[in-house]
Amino acid sequence: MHKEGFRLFSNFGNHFKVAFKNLFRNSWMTTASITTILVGLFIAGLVIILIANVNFFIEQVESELLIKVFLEKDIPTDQRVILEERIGNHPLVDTVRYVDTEEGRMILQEQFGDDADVLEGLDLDEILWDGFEITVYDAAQITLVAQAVENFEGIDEIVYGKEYVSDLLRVTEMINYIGVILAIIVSIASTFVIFNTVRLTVLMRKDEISIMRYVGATNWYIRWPFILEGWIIGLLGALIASGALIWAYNKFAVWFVTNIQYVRIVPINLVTQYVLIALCVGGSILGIFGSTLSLRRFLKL
Amino acid sequence: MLEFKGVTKRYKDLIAIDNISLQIGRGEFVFFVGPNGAGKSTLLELVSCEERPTKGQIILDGMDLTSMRKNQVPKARRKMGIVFQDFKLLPNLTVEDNIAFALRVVGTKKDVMVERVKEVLEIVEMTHRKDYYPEQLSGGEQQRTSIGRALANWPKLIMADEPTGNLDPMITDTIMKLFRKVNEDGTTILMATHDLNVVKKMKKRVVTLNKGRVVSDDAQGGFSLVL
Repeated sequence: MHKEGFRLFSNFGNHFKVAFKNLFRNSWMTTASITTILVGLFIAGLVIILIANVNFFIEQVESELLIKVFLEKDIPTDQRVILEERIGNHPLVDTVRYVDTEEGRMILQEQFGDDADVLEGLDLDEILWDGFEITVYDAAQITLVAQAVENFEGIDEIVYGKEYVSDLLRVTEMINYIGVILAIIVSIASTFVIFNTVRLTVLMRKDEISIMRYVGATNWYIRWPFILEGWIIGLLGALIASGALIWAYNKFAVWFVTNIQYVRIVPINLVTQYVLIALCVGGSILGIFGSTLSLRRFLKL
Repeated sequence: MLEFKGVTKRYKDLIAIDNISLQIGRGEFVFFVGPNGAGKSTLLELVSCEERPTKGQIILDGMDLTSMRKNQVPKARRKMGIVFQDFKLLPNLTVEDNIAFALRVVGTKKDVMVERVKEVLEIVEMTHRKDYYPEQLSGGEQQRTSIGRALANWPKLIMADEPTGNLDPMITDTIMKLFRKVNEDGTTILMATHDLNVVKKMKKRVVTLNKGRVVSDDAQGGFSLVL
């Protein structure tokens, strides 16, 4: 068992050597295919980062999304309590909080901070109503909750970011679609390039392969270097692409943090980790898939 | 050691080998002669598992080559060495590396490999050319190297398809001497050839084929006049 394991290991060293030799022998084709995969994965990585940031942004916004319910003036306390309970019982509602005019005044003053003096002289009672602030579990269902609450008795008006929410959801959906389409295009293009590169090596090594077969090399012994060749191309493309993306995101993040204060972006270490893993796994799968396809088509054993 | 039992090979409408039965003993030297298309090369291809017979059985050393699973074929091939008319040496490898190639791809340990390559170089008398590349060698030297590669894996059987087809008569003699030496060391040799002079000189068993059938089988170098 030990001996077999060692042999497999030392054979692999050989397979890698052969794979690298083939890559250098075809250096133009290798460069071309690494570049194609690099560009493909770079775009894919860009889309991943974009989607991650849009989702991150939506999460920030969602956590701040509220339904504001303004109650009719002079609503009796017991009716208000019943109303609060009814809203709270709605299955999609997370929290309900009663805000009275006094609290509303304090919140306003807090928001204006040092500029609170602008509020002086205004009849705040005209502006402020008693009401509820409702948060929901899922921002996508905010409209449903609003529609349900609207029909309750004792409610004067309801305010929530209806258009804002649906716009945001539409944008995310579209970016996700574009991401999927791009990923498909990138996968097909990358597979095709690797398929061709490996085909070229198979053709170049035709004589060698036929001699290997005649002297009794196993089929897997013959196949491994080609599979490794595809994998190395995919992995190198992925490493360069993720390196470039991470570098660019770092630069962007520094610029963003210094120039934009109220919106946060996905932290650099998270992007580094996910982009590196996603692209390396993606590149490896594409590389191995492309070379396997090519072997099935061109390597007759 | 090698037995053909009612072997037939058909390619669509063409019958390349037609119900051949033969027995070849250990250490024999057998020529296959016959006109083009007689089935000489096909017979060797059937033994090397390059082709599978349409009917019949081929048994090598108790191993049925015809019903063998595909992944067992490499194992069977390690028992044989193959020599081609066009040598099929790898141009980017030296003589020494071409011979070592046959050992390396079957996972031979390095120290065993080094020792065996040295031995084989001596057998084929190519030690003085071991660092040369094929293009720096004469035809005869290339064929010696190719025989060396076939010998490397301690084969019980060597098959040669027109091994002297590209060589002039003088070189042919030296190559045949080499085959004779290998045979005398105990290796069974099957050789397909057009060169009747070679066959006459060697005085070994000759199987004459025509249209896929055995026309004659002579133990002392005789062959049919249909040729």
